[in-house]
Amino acid sequence: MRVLVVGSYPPPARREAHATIATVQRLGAQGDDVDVLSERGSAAQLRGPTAGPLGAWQTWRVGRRYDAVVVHVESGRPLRMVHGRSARLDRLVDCLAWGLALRGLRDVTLVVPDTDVVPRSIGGRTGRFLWTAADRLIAANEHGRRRLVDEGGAPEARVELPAATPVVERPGDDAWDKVADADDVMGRIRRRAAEDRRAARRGTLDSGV
Amino acid sequence: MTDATRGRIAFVPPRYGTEIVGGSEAVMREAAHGLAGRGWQVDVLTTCARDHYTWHNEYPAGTTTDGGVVVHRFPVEDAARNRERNRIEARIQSGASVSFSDQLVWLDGLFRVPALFHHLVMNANLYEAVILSPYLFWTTVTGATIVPERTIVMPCLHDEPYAYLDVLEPVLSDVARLWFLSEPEHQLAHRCATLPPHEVTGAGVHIPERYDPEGFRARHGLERPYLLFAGRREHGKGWDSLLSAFHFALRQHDLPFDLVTIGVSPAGSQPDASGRVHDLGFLDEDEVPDAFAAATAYIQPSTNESFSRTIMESWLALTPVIVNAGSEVLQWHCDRSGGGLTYSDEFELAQCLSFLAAAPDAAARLAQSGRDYVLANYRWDVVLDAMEAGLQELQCESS
Repeated sequence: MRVLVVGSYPPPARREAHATIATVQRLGAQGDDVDVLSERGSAAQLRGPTAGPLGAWQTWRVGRRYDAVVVHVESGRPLRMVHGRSARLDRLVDCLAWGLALRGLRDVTLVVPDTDVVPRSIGGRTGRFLWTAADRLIAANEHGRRRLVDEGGAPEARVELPAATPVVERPGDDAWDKVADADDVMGRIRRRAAEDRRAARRGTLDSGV
Repeated sequence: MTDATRGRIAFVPPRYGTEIVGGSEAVMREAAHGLAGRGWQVDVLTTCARDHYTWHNEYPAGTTTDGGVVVHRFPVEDAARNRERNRIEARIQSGASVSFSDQLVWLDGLFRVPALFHHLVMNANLYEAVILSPYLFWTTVTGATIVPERTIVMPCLHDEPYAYLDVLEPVLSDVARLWFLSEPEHQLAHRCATLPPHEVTGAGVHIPERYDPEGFRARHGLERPYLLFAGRREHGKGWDSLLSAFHFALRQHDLPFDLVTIGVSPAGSQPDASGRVHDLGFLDEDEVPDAFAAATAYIQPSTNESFSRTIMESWLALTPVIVNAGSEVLQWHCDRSGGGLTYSDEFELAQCLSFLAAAPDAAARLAQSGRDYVLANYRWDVVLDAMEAGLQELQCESS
């Protein structure tokens, strides 16, 4: 199946880009032929606007050639981050544009890792017009799933939770035994810190809070 | 020793091939072949580009084999220097502050290879390690984001403005391991970023079985003794300053030397009109050792060196080396080996050449010290042992 994934892509490799890579890898592992449309990430095969009405038009224009489309909902895209007097109007335009665009495509999935990044609110009539355009929504957790259903009006059956992302397994504090010398300790500290830094970028760091 | 179960690894250089001129490209290619020879299953993921000035696709895309290595080539896109990138490049070189978004434009502006990135995203799980080099190209910056916990970067870092760009910092800080070619490069990296586990592996140099200096002179019609420069004749590699200093030395002393260059030049380079500079262009791999052996001395004018294979090749051929003292790496090799001369300006270079002309036996003794140094430190078997130790440590961490 040919799938278009819309979202952030490296460089830079921020958390959103890692989420898109994970989607591409998941689809690739199940045998899909995947292309990525990204506004900025030059590693994507396709580049173009991915926010606001222009992004909606571009996604519809490109996405028509694919069997399925996956759109990552991030801060500022597909709904623009707008402030001031026109914010309400811009949100309305964005939701309508994306709602229409997604309805014109086949097998649409919206990936919503964080419902808090959606500007203004999840709900409202225009918000519902957007969320109900997707054949499937993937929320990061139960809280997000409830918001998409209760506020966004998405049919409960269409909102899924992803398979649990494995968090980085870190040795417990007792794994500091058999320390040889200061160089050994520093080596371990740097290795663990590097693992944590990578995990934080990918959003898989278990903060333990 | 061959052990087919050692694991599958990927090398990702921006260019690959026997005719590619560049230190990091040569090290990557030889390390790939060396590890393949030791039983690792090695893939090379690279571009279709041959010329680092144009980045045009010259090799066909697709999969081929090169000895024991499988080579996958992907087409370069947007290989055009645009005006915007040139503007940013000038700002970077001047040391001015450059915004992160401009740094991204600069990174993307030279070339990009989305197909290679996509291949690596889809196939990352096949590889126990992904080895990237050098630090400042798109292939390395983007490649390092896919499986950083299994990524090794051989930065080939120079003390240049690029080394301090924010967009390149994750290449040094967010990967699993770093392999450095020299101790000064290692120290420089500590000044640029917080480093993951790393080691100074060095780079290996092949030891030719024989040299044919007389045959080389005859084939190329070189009648006078000559000084050799091997590499890219470009400003960043010190070519302009060498040419100027060489002519200064000729004016100051009655020197018998010509200057012979091998390698590549940027398009549109003007030949030297003095009659004392001879450009032999790109030589076959087999002929390069003879070029070193036939030279009176090898001159390395570049300050942007992370290792400098060419001075090793020169020492192996028992040809003295004269290097730019502005390079910490070159100075370091000379200090450790006791086998090289350094110069800081044209006056010192002129005196070095005067010494060579007047005291060839003493110069030969220096070269012998250099050869001993190379044989003790930079044989490929020693370097591959260090690389394998790093790979095995990575395998242990992953499991």
